[in-house]
Amino acid sequence: MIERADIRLWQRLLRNPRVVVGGLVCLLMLVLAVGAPWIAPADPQAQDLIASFESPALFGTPADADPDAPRYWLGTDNLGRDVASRMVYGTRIALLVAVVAATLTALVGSLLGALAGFYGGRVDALISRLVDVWMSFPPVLLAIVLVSVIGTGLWSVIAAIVIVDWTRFCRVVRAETQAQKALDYVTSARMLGLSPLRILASEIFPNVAPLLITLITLEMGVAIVVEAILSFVGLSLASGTSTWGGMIGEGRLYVNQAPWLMVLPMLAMMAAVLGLNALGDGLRRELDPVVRR
Amino acid sequence: MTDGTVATVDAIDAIAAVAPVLQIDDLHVEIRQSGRVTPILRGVNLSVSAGRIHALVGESGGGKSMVAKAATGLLPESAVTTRGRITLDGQDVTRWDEPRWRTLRGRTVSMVLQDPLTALNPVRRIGAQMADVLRLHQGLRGGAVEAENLRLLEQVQVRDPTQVLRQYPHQLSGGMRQRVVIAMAWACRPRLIICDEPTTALDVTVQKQVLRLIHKLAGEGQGVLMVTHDLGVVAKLCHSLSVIHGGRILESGSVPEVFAQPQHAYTRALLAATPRFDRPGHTLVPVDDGLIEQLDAEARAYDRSQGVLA
Amino acid sequence: MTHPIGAIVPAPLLQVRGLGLSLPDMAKKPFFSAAPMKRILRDVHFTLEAGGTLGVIGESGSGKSTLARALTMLMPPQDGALLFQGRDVRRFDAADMVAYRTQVQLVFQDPMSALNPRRRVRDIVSQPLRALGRLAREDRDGARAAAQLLERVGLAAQLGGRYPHELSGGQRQRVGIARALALQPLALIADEVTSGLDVSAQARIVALLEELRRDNGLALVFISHDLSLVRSLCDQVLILRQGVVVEHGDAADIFANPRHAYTRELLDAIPLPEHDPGWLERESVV
Repeated sequence: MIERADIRLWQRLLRNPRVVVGGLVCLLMLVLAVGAPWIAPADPQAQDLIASFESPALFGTPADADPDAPRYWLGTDNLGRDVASRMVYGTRIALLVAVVAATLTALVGSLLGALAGFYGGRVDALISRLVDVWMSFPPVLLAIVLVSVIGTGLWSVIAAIVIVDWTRFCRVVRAETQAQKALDYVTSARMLGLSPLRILASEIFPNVAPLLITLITLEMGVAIVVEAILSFVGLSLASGTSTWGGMIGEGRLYVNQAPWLMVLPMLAMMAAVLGLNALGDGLRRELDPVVRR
Repeated sequence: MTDGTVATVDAIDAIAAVAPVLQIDDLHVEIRQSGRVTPILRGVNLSVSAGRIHALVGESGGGKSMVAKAATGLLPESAVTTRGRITLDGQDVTRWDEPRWRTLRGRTVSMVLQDPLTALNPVRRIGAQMADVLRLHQGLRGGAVEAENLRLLEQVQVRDPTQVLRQYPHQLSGGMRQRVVIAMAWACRPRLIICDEPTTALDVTVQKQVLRLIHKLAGEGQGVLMVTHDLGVVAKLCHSLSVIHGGRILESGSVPEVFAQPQHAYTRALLAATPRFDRPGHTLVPVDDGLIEQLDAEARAYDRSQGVLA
Repeated sequence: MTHPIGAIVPAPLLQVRGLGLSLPDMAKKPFFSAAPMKRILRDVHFTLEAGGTLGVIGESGSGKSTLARALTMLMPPQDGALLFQGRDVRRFDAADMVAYRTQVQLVFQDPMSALNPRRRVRDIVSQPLRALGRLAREDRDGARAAAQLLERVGLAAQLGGRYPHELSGGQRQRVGIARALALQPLALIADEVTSGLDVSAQARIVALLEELRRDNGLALVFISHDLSLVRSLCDQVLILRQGVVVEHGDAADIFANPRHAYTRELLDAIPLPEHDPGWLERESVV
């Protein structure tokens, strides 16, 4: 039954600047990622050594440029590859990693956290000790070691992020589950004879969800940055594939002659992370009935 | 009574030659938020004299907490004083800003709140917190601070002051914590102490001791504004009272008079809803919805007459 | 109490004999061993007949909330007997326990934590019916049942669409009572349901409980620190002090002739709403 309240929800969402701006950024990313083959002006792998280090056409072309030559709106890199196309294809990787890694991390971490928080006792002791030990490894090093062992590739990157970061969700969800469990409404539910799983799902989950929304969008931002770090050290995807991190890594070498090679992908990353965080924050504010008055 | 307000002249205050420590005249306060205007105080008149305890009685949402906040300059950002005057210890503080209020708080006016556990900093010892007040407002240093702390705790009848000063808030009982809060409120002998439901969270035996303490403070010359919904506390402790609902004072007067002959229907309704263990046949009568509707309608009519667009 | 021979006497609803409960005292727990047990309740006796009202009075630390939980077996008592309609509750199996808890419902003190803040009122109120599969087929989401229950406690059915924080304290308490009524219990255990409420809201709750007693024959265990409220609602009174029953009996009798010094102390400490200048300084005669 759709209530007036639900319709108003959509109106409210659209009025919240965070949701709108964040949503637009994410939508843009989605469009670029999905439509990359049609949107990207050129083949991101196509090298044209003659046209290397062309400055971005956005900033104006030199008067003596050949009018028949292709315009590179964001310039080209050291191998003459079109930066704009590389960035568009890079969005694919970024988004894929962000969504999949964040979702899996949230699933694994939240599940274990909820079990630990709700059951307490030995279950909690076991999971908490596991988290403690796990978290004692420096995260970035852990990711690097992991990828070095499993080998590079998209799924390795995702696995590395999940394996390193699940503990964050576990800790937070465990604490929140414990806090909720202590409240009388959970006691009422238990007295009705509801099974723990049902209580977790229908009573506690709605109260942990706002937190999760924020955490997941934050995690997406983290995933993008981690992927970039791994690319930077050459441990991400194959060097041919366009990733923002890879572009930053390569661009670093030519920062004096072609600064746009490094700056543009960095800006893209920043925009992506900010957009995700804004969307997450805005969604939490609008969807959480307790926060909005 | 043309506007529905009943006022019995408080003979005691009329005789008192001293100007009241707190005088609120015709105070109108609105909340302006997201384009909406909500009047919360509608022409409040109230005065508290030195050495006397005046009660502000009402139910939640009636405006009594707002009055307390107005008297300490703690009204929320969205609150606007549209009319009226607040005079604190002879100074017109109606439109004062925060820096000026800071000079008064603690020294001229202080507050005792309902929940002593949240009023005290949980990670600092009692002695340290009390010392803050003394250092800030009285400029005491070193040994003088310790001595004054002990004296204050003795005044509020804490049995082992040296021990208490070393403890943390959670180590004390509720009654003890409230005493500490009262001691801190009283440290600088402010002219006015505002107590906002100070005993609601306490056991009834402890409540009596705390009420006794407040009575003693008034005896030392402080004026006390007692904000409460408990008519029993009002009857036993206070000299005079004002009954507030919907931001309007419906009745005020001395305690003996008002309790003997309550004039306003709302006052009578509150009394009828107050349980009494000494009257076996007394059935609790909830305040009639019709009366509330009537009062709300009167409030709205008042708003219209003031030209307030709500 | 004597009965003619051969008469079938219905067992009282609840019988409590020598109830005792201890909990581990975490404050005194040594590092490597288990915490010592601290006695919260000791030797509590009372009998509650169907439709009867028992007031349990105690200040903080008296164990009254623990008693509420002991009666519903949330915290099983270690000592003593708890009989429901003559049967030993401590021997109930899981199915019996569910049945017991539908018939003896607990209403909690703090309506902010007693109601799930992120569920609408009508879902909260119909939850017990949904959990036990007792909703009518035409009423899949429980909206109709919820509306009826809300009306029963004097709340408008429209409030069902709201969230708990959008209601006043008194309204939230009534929602808690509505939920407790969903399974048509025989007894309600109201744990400080009037604390923190205004005089008028309190009076409304008391009137509601009285009405439920009259119309539905609901038995009531009313736990409070407010003697005056207990007086207006209950026939029987139990006074707890630090886990021990200090006085127990007929309400009118106890209030008129308190036997124990503690009771007298409590009575003296209550400020009645009438002017009495000497009250403050008067110490209770111990």
